[in-house]
Amino acid sequence: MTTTIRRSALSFDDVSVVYRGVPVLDGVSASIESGEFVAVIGPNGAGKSSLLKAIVGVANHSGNISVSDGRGAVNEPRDRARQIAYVPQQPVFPHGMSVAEYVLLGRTAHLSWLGVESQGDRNLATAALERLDLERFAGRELHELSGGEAQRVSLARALVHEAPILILDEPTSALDLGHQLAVLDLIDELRLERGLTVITALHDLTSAARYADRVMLLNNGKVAEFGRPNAVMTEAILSRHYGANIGVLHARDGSLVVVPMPNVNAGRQAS
Amino acid sequence: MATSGVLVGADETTAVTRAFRLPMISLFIALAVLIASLSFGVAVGAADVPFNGILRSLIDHVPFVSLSTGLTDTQETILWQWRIPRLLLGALVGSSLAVSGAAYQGVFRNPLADPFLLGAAAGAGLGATLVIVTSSDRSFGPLGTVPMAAFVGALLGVSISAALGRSAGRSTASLLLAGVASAAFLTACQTFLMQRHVESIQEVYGWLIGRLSTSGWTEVNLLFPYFLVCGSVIFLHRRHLDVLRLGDDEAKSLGLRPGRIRLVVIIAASFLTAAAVAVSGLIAFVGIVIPHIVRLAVGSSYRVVIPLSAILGAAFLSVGDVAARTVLSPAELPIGVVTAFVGAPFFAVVLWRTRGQM
Repeated sequence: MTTTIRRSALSFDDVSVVYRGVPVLDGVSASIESGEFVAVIGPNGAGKSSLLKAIVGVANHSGNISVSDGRGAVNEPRDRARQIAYVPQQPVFPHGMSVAEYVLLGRTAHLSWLGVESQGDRNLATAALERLDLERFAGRELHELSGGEAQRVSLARALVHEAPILILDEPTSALDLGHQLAVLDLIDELRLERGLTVITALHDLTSAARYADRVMLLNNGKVAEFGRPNAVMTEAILSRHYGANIGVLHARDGSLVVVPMPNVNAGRQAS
Repeated sequence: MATSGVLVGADETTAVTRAFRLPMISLFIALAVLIASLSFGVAVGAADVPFNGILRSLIDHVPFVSLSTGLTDTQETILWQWRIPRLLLGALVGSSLAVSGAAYQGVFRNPLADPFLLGAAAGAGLGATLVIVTSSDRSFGPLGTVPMAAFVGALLGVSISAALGRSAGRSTASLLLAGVASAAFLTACQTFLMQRHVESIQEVYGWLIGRLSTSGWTEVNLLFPYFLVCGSVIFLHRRHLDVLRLGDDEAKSLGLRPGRIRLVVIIAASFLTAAAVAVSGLIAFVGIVIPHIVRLAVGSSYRVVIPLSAILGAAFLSVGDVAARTVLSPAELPIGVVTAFVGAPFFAVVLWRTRGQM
């Protein structure tokens, strides 16, 4: 997993999100380099989705989020959308919409105001569908797809964004183990192919350790740790922040495997 | 054969490009249905006007063309001062209501949203009733007090629904419920007024059930500018309405401002509804029936639903008006009764078909 670190793609400074009066993200600051694969991990309610939504511009936030398009920070929703493609945790698949129509909506930020797609846009969508082996589904309605197919279709829409930054919120949460690996392999392939910066929330810590260049551990809306997987994903750190006994094993190839361990204290109390 | 940037050339035959192509054939079929409906509408009437003469008269009115029509002066007057304006008024009202309905359904992401569900009709009804029962000036013509009061009332009804819905939350359901609440309140006000002025009930009732009566071209001239401007605004937003189907979060992530789009489309659809209601009274169900026929037959993309609703809405009300004029001839059936006869059962079918999606 070699990555060429080129320049800052995204930086946030003291970013906070308040939802219905409750702070869900509290003063997060970080900088993410171009081409990096960053996994955002943390227990439920840690603020993972809120951080991603703030970056995408979906959640109202305080503080500064700077997306660089190579010429300086971009703040207008349209300009930002050209820089960031977003795959939400549960993408909305409108009833009656075909895969082709859905993927083409990914070109929205590139069209003139009130404009419609050109043949060039359709060619891009065609290429994205072919790249993800989805061309035979083009005319099919979204609700006819399986979970794995639907996830790939939402990725295809993100690809036709042609944005250098790809944000994904738990892209594997609805998939079985085989499809989880297939989707993450695909995301990593696309990142290397196209030089994308990938920021993704991940529930599965072993996957986070395997794919990410750096891991951001959030807890209670704050950045608890941010660094290389080996540094962040230790038994002590994970157990402390997840409030459980977590073991970190080292596989033969050197990768980390994160597993829940029996709670020794609980066992003693029970006996 | 690329048209309006949506349709792709016929020479591209891969599965993918075929999937991207919107059904051009459906546009031709819809236009054929409209032409057939308008021809039927112009040919049928109480007075005997030969179809050949009608055709010749139409051609005679093309600039720089002169043709002997063979029609008497009376027939010419019937044709050009009564039958054609009324036909065009029906077409414009039908098109306006269908496009407004489709636009509301897109904006609120609810297939049952309708101009009449958001307080527009109740507001218009109250406005018109207020004038009929309190004013001696009961002119129905353009800029007459009844259409203008209906116009103001329709906008007021939608504004109350929007304000109430916004205060209750940002969900689609809260807006529709606000529409139900404001419609109930405005209808109650109207009923109260009618009870206090029983002598005007017949007149109010005549307006409420909808009618397409014309005095020459005046109603057409009143509605046409609204149709042109508001219809264009909605048509230009057809792709945005497709993006809004993804929900606000995803629309924002694609670079749109959903709130702004929603506001623009609601204003355009409300003005269009108000203008149609002002000249025709309350003609229910067109805004639901037509967009759903398009969805069932062709697809749910607003790039198809908006233009085809405009065409088929015009065709539907043109034919509906022929039925209204001829079924009980020489008496006339209110057009609102005809559309409700067709619309109510259809509404039930739509409810049944959309089960599980609501």
